[in-house]
Amino acid sequence: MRKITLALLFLSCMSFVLALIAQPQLVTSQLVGSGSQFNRVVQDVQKTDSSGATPDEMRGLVTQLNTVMQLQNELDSLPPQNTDRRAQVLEQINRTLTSIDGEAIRIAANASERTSLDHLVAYSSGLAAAVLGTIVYYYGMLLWRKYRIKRIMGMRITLPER
Amino acid sequence: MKPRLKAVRQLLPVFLALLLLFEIGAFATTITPPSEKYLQLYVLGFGGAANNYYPNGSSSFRVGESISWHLGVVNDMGLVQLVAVRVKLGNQSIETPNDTLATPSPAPLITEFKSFVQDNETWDIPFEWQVTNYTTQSGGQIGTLTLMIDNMTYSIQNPPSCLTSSCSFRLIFELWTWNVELSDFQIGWWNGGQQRIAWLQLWFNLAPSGRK
Repeated sequence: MRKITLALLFLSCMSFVLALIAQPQLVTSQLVGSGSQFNRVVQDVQKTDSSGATPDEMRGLVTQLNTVMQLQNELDSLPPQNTDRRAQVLEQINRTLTSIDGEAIRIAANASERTSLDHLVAYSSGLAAAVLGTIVYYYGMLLWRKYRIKRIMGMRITLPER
Repeated sequence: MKPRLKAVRQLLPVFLALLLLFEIGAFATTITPPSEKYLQLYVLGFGGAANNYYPNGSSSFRVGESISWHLGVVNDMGLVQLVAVRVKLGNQSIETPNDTLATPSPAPLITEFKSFVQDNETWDIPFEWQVTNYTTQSGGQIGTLTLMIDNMTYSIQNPPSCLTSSCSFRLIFELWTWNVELSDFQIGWWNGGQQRIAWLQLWFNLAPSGRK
């Protein structure tokens, strides 16, 4: 029985390691060549979405991004001579983009961890179910054998009358 | 053979079979099956129905008559998208966007609407518009066409040639998306190495006794 336990333990460890290796990596922000801050933020938000962020988490980011679009429209509609207001709006855009980027990276990290944990739970559950199934099979077989033996021992031999 | 070793030999295949079965189940629950990624663009008429696009049921209307439509974009791309709907003014002969080559229409751009749209969500754009004025050149060609869209006035100098006596214009709506690799808008979107586009057009005629 000790060898069975050892074998099961070894296989459990192997499955656990495989499950860990299969996990996605944490999403990190990366600068895209000479791309603008806006483009980088869009990329980061899309990465956040693909890392498994919930719709509610994404809604907050999307709302802020649409605020940036409104500010951009305002900036486009301002006359060039209105330099003060233009500078204000531009600064607000940059500030909001920086804030969105930071939040996107934070949400992505959380979402990645959550996804990894979900995967780990799923694969571990598979492993646990396999162990449980094997134990059930083992004791089931024992019971079945006992039942067969009991049945055989309780048999009556009747000889046909001549 | 020792009884314990025999038990291991009996149980190992069972355990491995069960492990394989359950891990396949776990894998199936954790992966997202590949599905077609697409965007939808639609226009609805007055009251949000796919009819009643024009006042009095006729695409021929007068200057100053207000028309109420609803544009909609549905995002099924699996990711948040920055979407733009470009509104262009076409006449009878101008080229429409090319579905095969994925090229936009050369018609003049009137305006565009931009928004980020979450996955599995719909972006609804109220589109109130009217022709507020037009001028005619010698020979009956329309020289300047003034449109009001959502309380913004757009004046189109030398619109696609159209005679006031038999003038059929069309509003062309094109769907554009932000491409992070290009760091710019592109017409349509990419799916499975193929560029897809979505566009719509709605015709209108200026009634000959056009001006109020």
